[in-house]
Amino acid sequence: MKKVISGNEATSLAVKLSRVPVISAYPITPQTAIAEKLSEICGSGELAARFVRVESEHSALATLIGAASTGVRTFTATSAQGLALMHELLFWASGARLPVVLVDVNRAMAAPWTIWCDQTDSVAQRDTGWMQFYCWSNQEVLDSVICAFKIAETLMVPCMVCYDGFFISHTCEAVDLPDQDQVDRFLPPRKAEYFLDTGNPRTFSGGTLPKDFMEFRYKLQKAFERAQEIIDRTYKEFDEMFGRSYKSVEPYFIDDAKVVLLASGAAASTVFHTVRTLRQAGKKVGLLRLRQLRPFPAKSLLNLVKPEQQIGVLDRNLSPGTGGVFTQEIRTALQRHGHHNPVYEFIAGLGGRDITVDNIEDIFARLESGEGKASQINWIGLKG
Amino acid sequence: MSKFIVFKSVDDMPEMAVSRGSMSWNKTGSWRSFTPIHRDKIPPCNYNCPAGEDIRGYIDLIKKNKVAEAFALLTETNPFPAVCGRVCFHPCQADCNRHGFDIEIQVRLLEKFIGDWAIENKKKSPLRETTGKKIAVVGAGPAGLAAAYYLHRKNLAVTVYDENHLPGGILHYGIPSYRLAKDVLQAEIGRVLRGIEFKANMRFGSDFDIGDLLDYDAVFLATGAHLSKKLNITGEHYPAVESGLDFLKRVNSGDSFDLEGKQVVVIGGGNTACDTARTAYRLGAAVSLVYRRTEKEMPAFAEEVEQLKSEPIEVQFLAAPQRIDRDDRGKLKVTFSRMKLGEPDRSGRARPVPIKDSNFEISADTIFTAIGEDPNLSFFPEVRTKDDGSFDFSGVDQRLGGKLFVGGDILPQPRTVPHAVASGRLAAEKIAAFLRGETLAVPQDIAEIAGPEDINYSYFTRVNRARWKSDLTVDGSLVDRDMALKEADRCFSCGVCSRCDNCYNFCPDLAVIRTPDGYQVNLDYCKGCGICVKECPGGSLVMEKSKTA
Repeated sequence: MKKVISGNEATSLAVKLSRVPVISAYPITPQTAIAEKLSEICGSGELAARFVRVESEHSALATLIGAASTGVRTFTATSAQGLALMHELLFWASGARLPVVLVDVNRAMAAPWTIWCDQTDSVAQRDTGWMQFYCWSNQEVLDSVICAFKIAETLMVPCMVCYDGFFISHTCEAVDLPDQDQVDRFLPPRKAEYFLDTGNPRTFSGGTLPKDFMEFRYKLQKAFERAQEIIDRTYKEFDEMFGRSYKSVEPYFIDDAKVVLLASGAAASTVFHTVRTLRQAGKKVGLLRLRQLRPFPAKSLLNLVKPEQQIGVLDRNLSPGTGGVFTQEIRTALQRHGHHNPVYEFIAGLGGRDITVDNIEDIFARLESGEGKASQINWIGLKG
Repeated sequence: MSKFIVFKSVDDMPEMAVSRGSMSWNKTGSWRSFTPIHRDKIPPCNYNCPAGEDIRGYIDLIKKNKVAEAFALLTETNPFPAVCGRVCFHPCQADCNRHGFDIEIQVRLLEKFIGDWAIENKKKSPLRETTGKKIAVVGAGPAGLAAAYYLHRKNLAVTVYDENHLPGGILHYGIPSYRLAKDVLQAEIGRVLRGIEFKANMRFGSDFDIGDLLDYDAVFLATGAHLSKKLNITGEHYPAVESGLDFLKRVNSGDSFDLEGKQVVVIGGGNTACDTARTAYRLGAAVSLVYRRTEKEMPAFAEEVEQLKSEPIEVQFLAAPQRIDRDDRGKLKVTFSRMKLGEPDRSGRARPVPIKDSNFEISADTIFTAIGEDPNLSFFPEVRTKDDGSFDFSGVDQRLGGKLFVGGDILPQPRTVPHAVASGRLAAEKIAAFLRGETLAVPQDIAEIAGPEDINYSYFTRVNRARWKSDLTVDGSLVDRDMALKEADRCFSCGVCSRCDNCYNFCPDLAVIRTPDGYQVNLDYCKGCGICVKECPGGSLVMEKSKTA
């Protein structure tokens, strides 16, 4: 059944379809509508779940860490400062190998005060041991949340599904809603090997000496290394069940492209539109849409990029002192595998500024003419 | 037990840091330096109740819709819920911990609810087999009736003597019917007196005497305080100058009075003065009440004063009568002097001091005096008044062979119904002990009182302070049983465990165990974190420093 819904409603319905029994969230724009819808769904009994009201995002995640320790599926949603407030517990969830799923509706980090979109909030959490997926449509939001539970629970690694505040969260699109029994078949209830049981009290994540700690981190890293295989398998199963296919890196017009722009989130759809237009004008341009920051889909990327291609990266985030986080990730991946493509870094759309077709055309023009500099940040749309 | 695992390889290790076996061997109680203890405190309502009612206890039973049980518990200490539910000055409500939160629990309304329930349902006190021991109670006021009731419950044969036609004493003859309806009173007394012999119209000293009491195994004297104090001013002897209490007695006995259009002056500021003024007003008089101090010092209950002020009765403060004159036509004229407040007297209240040349006059057809009452002990020549104003009954006790017990308003105690009831109940205990050849050990005060600091207010929701009382009542009673349940439900159960399970639910070590009597802390695992204490809504859990081993 198709329904015109917002990105946030897509999340809420995905959580409902995933039969999540414990939900906890604290309101923050632009995420709030998710918590509101979910509390309605829980309150009305549509979903047999406890919606735990809390006084902060820190408590929301703490609640879920406790709940997930009992072996059940858990969900929360947040944005920007709310995600930052969870920072400490993000490590706890991953270190304890609890497959919590979190939706981060991307919002720029204050100060100065803002509620508008960029990805700095989620990319700033890339080292916390969470998987991170990025979406460009409401359909993809719904599908990604359902997949996230399956992937996270298989790997015992928490997962963040990220999408742009307002551009996606508050924009309505037609979304194909899967049947509950299909989702039930795709996503059975979580089974945990170890869980809190008052009849058989165990110690979880207790004091660990230097002689053992490193191995637990090694195992977490190994889980991330295994993750791509699980993610690919899950998307394949999803496709078979629901008829929609996803890849961690989605290529568009890439094969004969001379210039390739990498982008993520809603901005990638603007790039997609621009590429199509430029193609009609005979330009050899392409798009690689990154749907994942962690695990970083280096192999998929390397399989798609050709040595002679000029590569630009559109970063809607900033790590001050370095630049765009996706750029750094891509450079590392290419370097690690002996590729020497020049990588041009474009910072755009911070704090909710529109990334327009003109902006994208400007980027492609700079890449084609060699005007862009690989050694420095190219700011797009900055006041002159 | 603990096993020290040495992992040989990374594959040997679990994905996450988790113990493979049960950790119950790890007695985390050894970490504890503070220990939570379930220890009840005294709820402020219970503490403040002169009759010693377990108010929290019966409210808890109402909460559970167990009204019969609530009635049974209440009458363990006070056989007069319908009476006290109407006329008690409800000190139970004064320190209710809901006070600063929204509005105090309306205990008196709940007590009235229980009392009226018992009357409506024609509850009867069970008849007891008597052991053959006989007790005489002289005076059928609240003290005498309470004593008789509890003596009978102890299987003793009780005879109550009273000078009046009907039992009740001040309850019947002093308190006007607009405050305490006679049918309610007599219905309640009827229940209290079940199994007890009542001898009406027996005035001590004229209809019977000490000699008639010698056959009893014990005698309880509770004849009250009915002698109005004199004004000690000129003109007091005129027939139209009467005791307010005598006036009330006559009205309550059914005498008809026509005060229509008459000018009445009431002198005094206590409950009798208020009742007299309001009764005279109801009989058609134009009433002035004159009190020598200010409203603040009035001995009448605040509620009575409020009601007095709400009626068209002229109230004058800071004026004391100096003389009464009568003109040719019999009209009285009271000369008052204006007063000001001086230093505090022995009662702690400011002493009124006359202001020079401030006299004024009020004319009156009738003057009622109500400046206090003394016990009438004229029939006991051997009673001596002690320095502190109390009485020494040892001479009478000797004549009765050491079997005399005294209570009620004769004693130097506040003259309220619950105080009288308490003194009657205490006398019953003392007499029972005496008959066993023992002396009653009076328990020493007092455990901790649960104050606002003991309450975790987060667990409670506020009602609308302005609207609640009117939502709760219709014609001065609780709307219905549902409303009573609702009101009882607001009770915090201060200091007394209400079996809410919070300690059980919140304990991170599962160290709180449910038992048939409440809860127990498993000290093997309690780390002394104190969460249970913090989350106890009513404060019946305390933290104590653990004794060091």
